[in-house]
Amino acid sequence: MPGGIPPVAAGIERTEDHSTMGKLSLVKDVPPQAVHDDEVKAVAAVNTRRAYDLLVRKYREKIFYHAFYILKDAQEAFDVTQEVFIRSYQEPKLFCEDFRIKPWLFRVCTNLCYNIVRDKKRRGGILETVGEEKRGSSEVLLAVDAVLDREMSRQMARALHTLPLAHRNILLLRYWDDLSYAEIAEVLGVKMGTVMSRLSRAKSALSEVLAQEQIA
Amino acid sequence: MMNCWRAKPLLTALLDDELSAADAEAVRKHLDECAECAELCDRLDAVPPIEAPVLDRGLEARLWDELDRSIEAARALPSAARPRFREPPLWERVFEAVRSREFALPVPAALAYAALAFLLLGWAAFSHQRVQVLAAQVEAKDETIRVLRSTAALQVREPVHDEQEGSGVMPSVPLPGQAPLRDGLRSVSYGTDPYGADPTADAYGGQAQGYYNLVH
Repeated sequence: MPGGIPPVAAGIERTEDHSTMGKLSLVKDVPPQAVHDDEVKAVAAVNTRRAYDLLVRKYREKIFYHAFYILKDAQEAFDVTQEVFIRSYQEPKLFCEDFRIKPWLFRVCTNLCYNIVRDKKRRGGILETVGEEKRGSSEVLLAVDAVLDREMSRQMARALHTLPLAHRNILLLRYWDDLSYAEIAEVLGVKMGTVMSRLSRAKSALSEVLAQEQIA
Repeated sequence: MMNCWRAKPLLTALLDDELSAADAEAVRKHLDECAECAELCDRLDAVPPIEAPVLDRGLEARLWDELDRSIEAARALPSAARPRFREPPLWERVFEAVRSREFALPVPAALAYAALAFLLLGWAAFSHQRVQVLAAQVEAKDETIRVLRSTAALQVREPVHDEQEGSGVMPSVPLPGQAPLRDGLRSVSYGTDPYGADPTADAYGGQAQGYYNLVH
């Protein structure tokens, strides 16, 4: 990347030596969350496999908890996270220079979550509670589910869940995934003004719910 | 001039530092003047950030390991083998919608619609049959007429000699431009059936037309 590698990229050791080509690594003290998307692309130019790894480590937490806050189910959130990354593997333009990775990932995540919510609503509550719940859950996911179930009783999580889906989603995009307004507009396919007003409404609704809970 | 109606959607954008300098200035000025919006702004500012659920370190590590493994496993499969997020084909969606009674009608309305549809279908079938019967009858009549006329036209009748009336008698000398008559033929007249014996006469209102009366 001519002249474009951001400061954190100093942490990427790029060896010209052929024997170690493809084994370039990040310096230990740079967490994957702090790596810029452009740096991921720079890594991809050398080793795609490595870049995918970096991408997964960078975004897995955001995407998993985003899906979890939307779906309230560790297994489903896990499935969504997995599917997002598999689709990113299948996206041929992912590491192209002007491809916007972050909005793309969260758009896929948002759409998958919406699909699941829609399907659940369509099937009604019956199937969901009978067989679906622990379908194929591994031991780890059961443990995570148990912990997160407790988490859901926390004030913020409960408040989020009283909001409508669109409000919850946009609040998560802004205040959990740290997307800029422009990126949110891209994710949701709406105009900037819509993002501002919807976010404003969502946030004031959230503050009202929180205030009511504090009174109660 | 900023008013409450315009300022309110911009409050979160102001707090998130996403406004242009001019807009931010205008909103701030409005906040100085309007106590209500200022109060709303404080309330929005007081909303705590969304935090990651607290997972045990070891549990989280196991969760991410599981994610890596499942992505690896799923990547090896073709997309058809991962039915979870496959977009269902149209017929499946229609079937699902009907099964889940998304378009369910109240029973009396459904019965009424069914009865109406039954009546319409019956009427259509009956009239179709009726039309076919009538068409067959007309066809048979036409056929009879054709047969009778072809046999009747072949019969050369004796001419009528009515000197007083002279009706139906053509001049024996051909008019200019007329083809000369055949040998032995004195005149040809065109008119009604001189004997009134044509059985098809009924079809033409009492008197059969189209006879060539030849005078030898």
